[in-house]
Amino acid sequence: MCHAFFRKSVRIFLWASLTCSVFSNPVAARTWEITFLPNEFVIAKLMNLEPGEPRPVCPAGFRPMRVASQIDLRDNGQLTVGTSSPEHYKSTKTGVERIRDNLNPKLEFDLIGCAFMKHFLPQSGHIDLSGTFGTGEIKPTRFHFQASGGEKDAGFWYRTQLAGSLQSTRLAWNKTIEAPAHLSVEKILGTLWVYVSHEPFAILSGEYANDFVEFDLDGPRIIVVSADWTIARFSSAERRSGKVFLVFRSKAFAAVI
Amino acid sequence: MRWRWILGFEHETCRSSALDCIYSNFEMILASKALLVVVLVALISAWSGVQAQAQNAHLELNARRTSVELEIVAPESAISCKVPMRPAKIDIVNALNPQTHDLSSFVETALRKKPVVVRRGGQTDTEGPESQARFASKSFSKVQAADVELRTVLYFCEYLGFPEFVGLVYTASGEVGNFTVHKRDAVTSDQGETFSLTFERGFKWYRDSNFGKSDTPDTTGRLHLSLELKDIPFQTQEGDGEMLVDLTLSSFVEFPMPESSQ
Repeated sequence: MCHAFFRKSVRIFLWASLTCSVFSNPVAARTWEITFLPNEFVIAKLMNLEPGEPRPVCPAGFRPMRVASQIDLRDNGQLTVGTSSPEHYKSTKTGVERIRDNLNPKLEFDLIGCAFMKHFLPQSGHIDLSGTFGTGEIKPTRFHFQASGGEKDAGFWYRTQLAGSLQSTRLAWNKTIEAPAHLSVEKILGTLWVYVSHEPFAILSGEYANDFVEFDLDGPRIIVVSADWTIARFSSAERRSGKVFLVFRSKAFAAVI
Repeated sequence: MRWRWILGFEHETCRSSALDCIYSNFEMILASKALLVVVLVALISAWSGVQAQAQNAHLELNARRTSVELEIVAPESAISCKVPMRPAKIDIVNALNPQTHDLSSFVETALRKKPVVVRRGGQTDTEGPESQARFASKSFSKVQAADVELRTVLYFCEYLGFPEFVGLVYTASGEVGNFTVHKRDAVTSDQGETFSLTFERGFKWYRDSNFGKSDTPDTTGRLHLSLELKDIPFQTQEGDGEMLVDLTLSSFVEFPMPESSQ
């Protein structure tokens, strides 16, 4: 009885160690973690849609419009490479250095939404990711965004600058980005935050073809400016000359209210 | 000789002036990064100490997220909006909390000048000008209670819950230590450098939690206001003294938006 039990436990032990060795095999796919922190704001214009383009359904009074831009992440901020694969494998260690030396992901986003005054409601869009990755390439990959329903792996978040100056944005405890000084406060409609999913993706070529890449694009910050000042239904000048503005200009306003 | 103590210098010039001491021992400072950091920190803190004396007292009001109403006001009020926009306002009240603020500047300045009687050679000098000296009028150990409130009313033209900023009126009022304040003024969008006001319509998601799922836009509007108010006069209760205070407000408010804006 005791003897049989011993044989059984030996078998279990052998199976367990075999399973362990299979799963920790260095040939198994690695996961690269790419982190991005922007150094500066990117500026993108709010533009009219091309004629004949599919238009989103917008609330009454809102106009379908587009924001699009291309960002070289290497030039725009700070890229770091890490890995969640076991560090003691030499291939992983040298791999990180090789990627660090030659890494230039490019983001190209195209977002369609509804605009009213300075407000913009992102509706649908995509982020295209491509560029060099160590000795390989990032296969051009499209991440999709839908405001309402459907599968998606990209995100857009818009914040309207109602008034005043754009505040510097704190990204980490020791990192803030400032609004460019040359941009007049009046032209700024708002800021857009672009990001892709944290899920690991198999989008690499070459020696990394079996690997996964996990992006932490926290994320390019985009200042949305008006291409012209006509996106609002009432122009800036119109508002300035209006009754409202004059009433507020006088210090007596405080007493009136 | 503070510098000498920090750096352990034996140099001759150290006895005459701290700055000379630093210059003459510059090479030695370079030799030790740690010491350089100590000196820089000491210099910066000494410099900022000098600066602080010349500057106004500073109060920060950091409000937690609060829920408010976007209140539609009567069209015949001081704000006029073009159809289909409607005049609206948001009322925010932030109170100064003595537990989280350093109110020591309201204690020190509570030392007041009082008239004194001067005796010269045992005689009371009744003919001469009245003399004054600084005495503590009351003994404030610490300001325990502050009853200062900043009320900010934001005025908008609103459409489907989406606001367009028109102006704001603030009122600072109350008592702290030996001081009272009552100041009311307007801020307009052409004074853009002193404040920032942003708006976003909330979605019921945060980052990854929503990927791959359908999310419904929620009907919450979120405003973030940061406002710097310079030179707010705080008067002593006796009315014979004034202290200028810089107030900074950081306020984050939410309001329900109409369903039709989805």
